[in-house]
Amino acid sequence: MLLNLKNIFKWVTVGGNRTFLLKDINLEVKEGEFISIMGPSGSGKSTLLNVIGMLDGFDEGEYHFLHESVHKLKDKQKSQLYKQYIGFVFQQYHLIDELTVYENIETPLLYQDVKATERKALVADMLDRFNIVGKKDLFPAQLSGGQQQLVGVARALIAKPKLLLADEPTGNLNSKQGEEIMELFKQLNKEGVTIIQVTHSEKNAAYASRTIHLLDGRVENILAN
Amino acid sequence: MFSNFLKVAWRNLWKNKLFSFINIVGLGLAIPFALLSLMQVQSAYEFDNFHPYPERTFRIITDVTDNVGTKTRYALSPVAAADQLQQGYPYIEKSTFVVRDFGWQLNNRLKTIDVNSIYVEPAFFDIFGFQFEKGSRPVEPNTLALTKEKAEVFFGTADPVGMVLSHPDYGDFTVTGVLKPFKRNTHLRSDVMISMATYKKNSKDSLLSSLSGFTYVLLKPGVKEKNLDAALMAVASKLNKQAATLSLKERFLFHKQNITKLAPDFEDLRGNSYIESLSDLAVNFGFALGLLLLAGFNYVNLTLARSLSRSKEVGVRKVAGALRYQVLWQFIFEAILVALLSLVLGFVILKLMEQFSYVNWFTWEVDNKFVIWIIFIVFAVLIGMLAGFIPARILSRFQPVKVLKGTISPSSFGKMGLRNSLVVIQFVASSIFIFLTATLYGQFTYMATDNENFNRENIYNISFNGDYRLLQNDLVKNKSVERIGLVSTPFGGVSAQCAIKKDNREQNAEASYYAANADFVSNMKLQVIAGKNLSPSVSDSVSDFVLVNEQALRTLGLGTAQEAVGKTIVLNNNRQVTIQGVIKDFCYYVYQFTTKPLVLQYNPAQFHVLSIKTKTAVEDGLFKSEINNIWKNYHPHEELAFSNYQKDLYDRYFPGRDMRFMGMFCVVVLVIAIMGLLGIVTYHTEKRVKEIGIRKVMGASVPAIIKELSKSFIKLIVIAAGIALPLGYTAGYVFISLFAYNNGVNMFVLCLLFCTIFALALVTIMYKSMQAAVANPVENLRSE
Repeated sequence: MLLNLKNIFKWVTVGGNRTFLLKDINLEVKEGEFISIMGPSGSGKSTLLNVIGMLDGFDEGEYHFLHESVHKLKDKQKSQLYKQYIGFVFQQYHLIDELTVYENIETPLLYQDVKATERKALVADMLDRFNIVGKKDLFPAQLSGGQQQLVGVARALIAKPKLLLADEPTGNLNSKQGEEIMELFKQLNKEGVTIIQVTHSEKNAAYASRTIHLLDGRVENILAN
Repeated sequence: MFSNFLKVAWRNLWKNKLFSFINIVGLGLAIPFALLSLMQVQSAYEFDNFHPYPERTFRIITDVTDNVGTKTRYALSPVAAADQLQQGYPYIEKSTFVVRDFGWQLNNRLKTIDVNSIYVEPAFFDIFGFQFEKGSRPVEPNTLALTKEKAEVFFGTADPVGMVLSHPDYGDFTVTGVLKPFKRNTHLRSDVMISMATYKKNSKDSLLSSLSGFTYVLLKPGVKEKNLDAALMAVASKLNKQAATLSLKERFLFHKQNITKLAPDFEDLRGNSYIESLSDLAVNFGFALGLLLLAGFNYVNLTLARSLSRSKEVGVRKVAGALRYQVLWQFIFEAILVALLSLVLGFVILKLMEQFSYVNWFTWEVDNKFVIWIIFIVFAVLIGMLAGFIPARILSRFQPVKVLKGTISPSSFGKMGLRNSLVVIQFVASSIFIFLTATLYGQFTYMATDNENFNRENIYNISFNGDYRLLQNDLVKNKSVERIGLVSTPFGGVSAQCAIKKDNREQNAEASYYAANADFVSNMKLQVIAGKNLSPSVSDSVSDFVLVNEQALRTLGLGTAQEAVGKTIVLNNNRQVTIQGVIKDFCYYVYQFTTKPLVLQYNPAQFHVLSIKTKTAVEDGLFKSEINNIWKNYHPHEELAFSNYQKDLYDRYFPGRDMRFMGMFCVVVLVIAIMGLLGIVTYHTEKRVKEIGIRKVMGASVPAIIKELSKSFIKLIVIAAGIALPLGYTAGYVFISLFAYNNGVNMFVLCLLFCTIFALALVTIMYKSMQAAVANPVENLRSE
């Protein structure tokens, strides 16, 4: 088992009233799974993804990731944990504008104290695999959206994470580019990477083995595809 | 990691050229002043390092314990100690005594110059590294050695050895030698070194135990220092025993100081001239640091104003696994890079300053270049770390979730009130500083170009010795010459003194004395308010009629000017003279002091200067050559000493370089203040981008938005003006009051300067507001 959420609650207090962002979420994810999270705007999809990614905290409940109890960890330890096991892909790509494709992909390795020669090899592999060797010296602004997202995925995978979290990875892409990314995810999943994606598209959700439907911070149902 | 930081930092600087420019220039302008003070600090450690026997030359300093037991440490020592050390201590090779005297002025008949003087014994030149370029050491009474610099000032290219300079009190001095140029960093800094015999001749205090000078000892090679300690103990006990018999209450204790370790002064010794104490250095450095602080504050402000554009990067890096300290270091590193670039710029500016506004009260060169560069770089890195720390701390705090969702606004530090008051303070400080400089400038210009106190226009002075009549007669025939006056020394320098009293029963009062003739009084356009000018005379004898100024009447109690005319006074205890005329008080010495009593008397024996008035303005060179031709007839072997009075006084009073330095400092302070304003305006507009967008969508016009945005800043500027104007006026007034003769605070200039400063501020505000107001609202709202 990769991760396990037990009775997760998250809320904000506005004017003395609690508004629940997540309400009693229970979720178990095994290694090698491909999960989609769906739901209307404001249903808590991204919040759940951020909680799983340890970028965001929660107010109640337990979260176990591999052998660690995340709810007991300090920020620094969480950071240590997610940088090793989790890769993130964003709707807006979130590449660093001042860095080239090559340098963007390399960034996570810098924070994991990987040696320069090894970094070079890893990044070269990744560029090769994603067919973007020719673009390695370009800056994000010089790439199309699809290419940027490809770099985003490459960056997320560079540190060989067990889990890939994608928040509407195709949201800003046209259908053809989106399809390519989804095919890529499928391929990655086959290679053993666990993937959790947030999506609005039924079609993209169908790539996953099961789909979690959220409504108002609550799991409405979980359907196997 | 490091190279990645460097890359990002560099690309960021490159991408935001305006911000980088402002930051680098802002720090770069402040840094040279800090570099200059760092150089002062280092040079304070490079004092007196050019003497021939550094390891065995010592200065003797004195602890004086008075009758109530208070101990005071002096750099000075009694002459008795020097005498004692000279005899009976075989391991002392040589010892010497040096006396520093203040307020010396020397005169070569034409120019009177303030000089910095010490009395030295012949042995002085054996112990210390002052070498002669020409001539020999001053030994006899009334002999002196000059520095090369001053020799050139007094005598130009002529050989100074054997020439005569005169002191108003001690008479004529013969120049025996010229020193080679020596390093400025010595506590024995001086322009003239006078023979100790002169001091002994003129010295009034005969008390051997008074702390009148400095004692130096040169030990024989190989002698242990503790021998000297023992000798000092012995001398002290001997002197203390003598003092006891004279029932003096003070007790001495002597210490030695190695000559290379005199500076900086950590012990705050009394009488330690030319050695900077720790507090001097601190004050010096404090100024520069204050300026740097202002510039650093701007860096913080500007960086935070731009924090929004960096927030995404922080978020991404954190998601990629960066820990907070890693992000923190990245931003600090960027600030260090900016500081290092500023250092480069600052160094260039420092060199330019040295070129264009060399101010000689600073040290511009240090001996050890390597050390100073290390200090500079370490200092720049520290500045970067300091300036970078606050924004780095705030930027690195960003939560990736919030950043990446886009729900974050530019971050700030401190309360808005604090930041606003800092802007006000920056403006008030720079306005006052600029205004003071302008007032200073005004006063110097007044002193340099003043023609109201006495006439400087079309006056040429020629100095002579001996008989002048034939020369005068020939000169007056020159077509350009209108009138030739005779005087002992021109106005504007130190004059001779005389004693005056109403009659023999009264006490003497001190007065300035000029030997002058009627034509000189006319040349100077002195205003005779009662009686008449001196009578024209070619007699060889002293006249019994004098002119006095109003102050002399007040001092002696002679009533009004009209009443005083015809009364007699006693001059120098021996001569009764009649007041022929009274002249209006005017400034004939320096402008700081009120007028003293003044006596003008026809006294041909004391005439030394021909004051030539030309009919119209003449060309200096041409006129000089004409005069020179006549001069050669009478003085074939003597160089003509000729000067344009107006130019002379202009040069004396107008400190061009100092003013330029001050001006530069003003500009820097102002630029930093404007940048601070720019930072805070930018921050505000960035924060209100969304609001502006909404307002525009609602139909607000560009002028309406500019008005809305600039309102609060204009308020700040108005507050600053409200404080700065009265304060600036007061500061200017207080300053100008230091001069007894001044031309007042110029209200017009004051207002003009303030208008300029505030116009600059206004432009800054408008520029930024305009930028925000014309932006496309859709762009700003889309990201939401």
